[in-house]
Amino acid sequence: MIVADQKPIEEILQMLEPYRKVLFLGCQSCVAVCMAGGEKEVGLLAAAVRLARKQQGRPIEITEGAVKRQCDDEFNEPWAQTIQQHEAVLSLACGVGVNKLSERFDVPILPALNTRFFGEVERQGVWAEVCAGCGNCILHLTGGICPIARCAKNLLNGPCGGVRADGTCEVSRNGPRPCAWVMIYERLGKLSQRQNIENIFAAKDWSSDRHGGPRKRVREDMLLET
Amino acid sequence: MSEIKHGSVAVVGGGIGGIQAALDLADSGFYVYLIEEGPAIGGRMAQLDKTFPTNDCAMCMLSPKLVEVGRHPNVQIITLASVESLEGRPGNFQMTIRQRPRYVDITRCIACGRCIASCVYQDTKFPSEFEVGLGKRKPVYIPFPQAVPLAAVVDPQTCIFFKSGRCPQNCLKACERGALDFTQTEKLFMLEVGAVIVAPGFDPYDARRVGEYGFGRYANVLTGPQFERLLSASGPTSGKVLRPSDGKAPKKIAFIQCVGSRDLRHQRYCSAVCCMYTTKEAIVAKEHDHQIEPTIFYIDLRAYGKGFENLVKRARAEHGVRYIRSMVSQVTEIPETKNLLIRYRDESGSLQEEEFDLVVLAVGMGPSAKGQELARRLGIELNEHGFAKTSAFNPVMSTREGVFVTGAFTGPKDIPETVVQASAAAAAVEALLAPVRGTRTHAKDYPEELVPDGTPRIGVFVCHCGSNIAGVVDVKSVAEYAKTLPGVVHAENVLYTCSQDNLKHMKEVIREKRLNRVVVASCTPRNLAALFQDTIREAGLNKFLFEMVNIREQCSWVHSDQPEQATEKAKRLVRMGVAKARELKPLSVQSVRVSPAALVLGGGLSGMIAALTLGDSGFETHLVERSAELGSDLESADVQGLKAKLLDAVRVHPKLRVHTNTTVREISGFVGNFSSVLRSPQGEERIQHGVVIVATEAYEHKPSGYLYGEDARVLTQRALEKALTPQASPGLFTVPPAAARCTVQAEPAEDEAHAPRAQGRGEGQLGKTIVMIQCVGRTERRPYCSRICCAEALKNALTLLEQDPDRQIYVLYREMISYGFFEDLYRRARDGGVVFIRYDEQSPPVVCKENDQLLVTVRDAHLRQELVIKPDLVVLSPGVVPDPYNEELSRLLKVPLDSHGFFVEAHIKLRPVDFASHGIFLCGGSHAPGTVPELIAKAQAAAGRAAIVLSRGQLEAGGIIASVDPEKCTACLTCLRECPFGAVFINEQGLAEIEAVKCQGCGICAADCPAKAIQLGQFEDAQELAMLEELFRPEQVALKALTPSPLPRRGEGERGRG
Repeated sequence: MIVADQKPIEEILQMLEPYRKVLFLGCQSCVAVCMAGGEKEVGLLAAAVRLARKQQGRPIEITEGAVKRQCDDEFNEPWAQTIQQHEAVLSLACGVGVNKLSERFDVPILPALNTRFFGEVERQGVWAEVCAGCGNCILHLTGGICPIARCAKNLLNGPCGGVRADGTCEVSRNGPRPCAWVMIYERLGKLSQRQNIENIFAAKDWSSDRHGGPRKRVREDMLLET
Repeated sequence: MSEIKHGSVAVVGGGIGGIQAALDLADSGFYVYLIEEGPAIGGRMAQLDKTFPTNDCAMCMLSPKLVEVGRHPNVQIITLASVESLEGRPGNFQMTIRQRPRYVDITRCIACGRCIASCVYQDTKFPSEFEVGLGKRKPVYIPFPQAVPLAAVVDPQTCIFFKSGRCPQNCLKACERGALDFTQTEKLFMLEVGAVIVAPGFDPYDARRVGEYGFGRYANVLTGPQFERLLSASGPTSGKVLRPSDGKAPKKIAFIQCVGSRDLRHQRYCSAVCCMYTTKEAIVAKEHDHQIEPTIFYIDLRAYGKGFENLVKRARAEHGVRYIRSMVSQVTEIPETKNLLIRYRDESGSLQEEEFDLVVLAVGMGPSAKGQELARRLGIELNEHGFAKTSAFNPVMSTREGVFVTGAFTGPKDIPETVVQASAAAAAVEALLAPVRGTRTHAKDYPEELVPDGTPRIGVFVCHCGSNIAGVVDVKSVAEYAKTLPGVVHAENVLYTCSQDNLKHMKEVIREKRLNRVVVASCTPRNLAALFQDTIREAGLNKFLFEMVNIREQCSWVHSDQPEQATEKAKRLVRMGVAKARELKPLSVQSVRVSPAALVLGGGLSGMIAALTLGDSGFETHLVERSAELGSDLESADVQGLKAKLLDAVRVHPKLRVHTNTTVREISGFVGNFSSVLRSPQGEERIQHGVVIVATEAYEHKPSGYLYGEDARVLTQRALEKALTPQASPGLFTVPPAAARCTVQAEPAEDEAHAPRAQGRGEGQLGKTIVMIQCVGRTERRPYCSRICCAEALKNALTLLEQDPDRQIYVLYREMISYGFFEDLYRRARDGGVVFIRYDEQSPPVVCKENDQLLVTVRDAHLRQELVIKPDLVVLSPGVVPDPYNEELSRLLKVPLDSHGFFVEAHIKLRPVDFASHGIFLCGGSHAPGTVPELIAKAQAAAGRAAIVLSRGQLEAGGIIASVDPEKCTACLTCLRECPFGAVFINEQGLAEIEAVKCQGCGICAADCPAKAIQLGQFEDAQELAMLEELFRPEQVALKALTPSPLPRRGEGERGRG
């Protein structure tokens, strides 16, 4: 699932500065699940913005709504007329949704969220990045633990010298976290695949990652005649 | 059986115990007469401010129960009544009741208080019973704001009309309802009942009798119950802690424990609850006023119940409560300041004098004087302490068949134990009266519900409530205003909306004007909403098409000096109510059939008792035990007779099916309809049942250290108990042959390996010098008190002395937990020469060996010196631990465990044997450690609670519940993870769905659903927002014409707002 954060209210208010009539459009997929942009967040954010603007003496007219998935035109289409009746759309979808709406409509589409990563639900209210979408998966060799996503240096042959005695990484954003390669080593032990650790990975071909420019996938057999 | 005639029960005493018993019985098919001595039910709990160990508000918990029992169709509350006599036999009793006059007709009284205001006594003159003398009342009064029945009462002892006959009787004139009636006389009448439950409670010990503390002489010496009232927000000082002498806030408060308890001059026993209620009072006082410095003087700190230890820890660490282990010898008043000088010997032995601003005496629980008189009239015996005598293995059975006793009438106990006993007594009555269940109760028939035709047609009834509302609010203009609101087709003023005439009139109007929504603007919905809902149901409307607006408590009463603004506010409140009414939808209630069988998990003492109780009540019961043997927890000598009896009863009971060597592989379903797969060596079997009772036990912990397991002379209390068992007579100890299938040789426990050697020595060879060590292994990781070990040690010490009076026995302890009547054992042991040595938690005793001589070294906390004892035998009390199987059960049943592995009940005070998930109940040591009688009461109670479900045949599901819109659900699992009742599941479409029977309508899921896919019936967003919009809509904005447009179209969810 795509995990996103809502932008700070100050930034959102700044984006909305020029407008008096705006559609707040949520997305009921990934960002609803990660509690950033579903219909509930639309309601909360709209209420906050209305209050702030009223306080500034510049009331704003907000229409609230949410679509099933903003990354599909078909779900957005029923909203076409409504969108065109507004000066701007504040999209509470991930960046994909914002792009999608922008491709279709000649109205400014503003992002309410910062799109962060692909994540798993660690527990309710906590999401963690475990896959980086590099396009070249090696999880079968690393005991199902991805060193690209979970090692701060994306090392393929770890651990590095930054591992501490207790098995944590010297890079600690959001508190101490385990070294991905220590985790891999232990996991391989459990699976009786310790020998994998002796594999020396060749330098990674990053062309499948986004460093080779925007990626696109085509399934010829599923294309529709146009 | 022909003698069992009456499906009705008399419950004598309207405290929390009586109320719980009445509700349990009335909910399971029996008609109940709830007989209360005073003018209102509620008992002692109503007077408490908070309750330990959670410090929850007592009245907030009790009040819903009061309302529930007050309006239960199968409970008749008879106040100001006492029992004259009881004739007849179980199943067919005749009880004579004497009812004193109230001088107020409770069917007319609306508790407006005008009679009180008009009384010639212009000051409130007489001490209020409810305020324990700290507050005052008039001769005509309402016992307390939440009283049930909520009506005034005249006290003829103080009323001047009755005393002198000369009184203008202003009250009669003031009452607009004609409710006062001074011609009422005492009534004598007979009730026919099948059984009696006696719950008269206790009397707080009269502190005046403990002269050295000066209660009654010194203004600033209060009792614990009085201090509760000082803390209560509804008390005489509105919750401010103030000294009676000068109304100033006290800084230093001393609490003195054991006032009248554990005292040969007064009551010999321990009152069981005072240590905890004082700890609570000290914390709450500190929370009210941070300046307060509480000090507690005590002998032993008895924090032996679930969560108690933690509360004491918090009192010390977080609230700075000072505990001093010392009995105060004297309190003297300093005349100038009215401060109090306390003289005590501190823990180092030196004499101290300290000045306090206020002293609170922790008075104990004395036997109820009225209860003793009642016992005489009922022909039941009392024990040596003046409490009801009960059978050792049936803690709610009195000495007269068919008469059951419960609560503090049987001995000092706290609220949950009282509730447990109440449910146990109800269960015992159910078993007795099972053949006549449902013969005296009645269900009401309603006409078929009309289908609302869509467009709201709202009727608004604006109540005058005499002058209660009309005296302040211009009710006529409110009704006129209501007529202008969209959707309203009828609005009128009514003198008393709740009067019988008006209810009839309301039904006529509903029919004539084809109303499909009703709004009543009157008082709080707490008391009367159910009545109005019932009325519209009688007229064919769905009861959820009703909205109540409170323009009395929340308007006329609080704004009596601003009539114009009050009228405006009333209009606005009515406007909100009408706005919600427009959005109301009928909610359906479905019936779900109940499988009339029970599954009891755990075949120990509790499981057997629960199964037998259910079986006796007529319900098929599956008793499932993991091991090969039932009752393996019943080890000690004094319960072998009970064990044999139980095994026998279980074996022959026609309603019981025993599954030994059996585990539960799977449980699915919900209350009334569970389906389980049982797995045994014979294979798997699927059973259907309506309820589950978890009855796993707790076991003696296996100690480490102290040479345990290394030297055979070191054993546990349980092992000692076995060694002390006299050679059993065959009748008592051999298990009946037919039960042999349940009694395959138990696995030898490790400590048993040691026991035979000790046993081999014979009685005399246990040795002369014996040391018992309490609280072995009670550490940070296992910090709780196991409740039973001290009594066990005392019992064994006395047996050892009986066998050989020359023995020298030492008991090394931290706190002696001989609560209640166990105090007698403690005293007998001390009299018999047992030496008690207290040690500090930080320096536990050490056991070692020197040339085969055992040595116990202990630092005596009083002497502050190390003592070395050379014992022949060391006995350890290692405490009890819950069954490790609980973890698996917790996962299977989705019921919670605490950090120590004990199950967590739905509510620590009032639902002690229920789980939060409906239809699942708990008892046994795995709920909390307990003595045999305590465990029996809990098992009976769990069976009784379960029988309520089983006796119904049908359960109602639906009404105010949450539901998921499948179009919007993204299956994010938030609701599934959050639901406290396990009501959410993911259906075959992969979307969240809510099991109607399990949903309790709490609304957590509706509030948190990120996709806004969940709505709670009667509290839908559209309904609540409509109310808010009306509340904040400025008056000048014209009302929109009503267009019947319900919700936004699906998949669109558009809500335009400016």
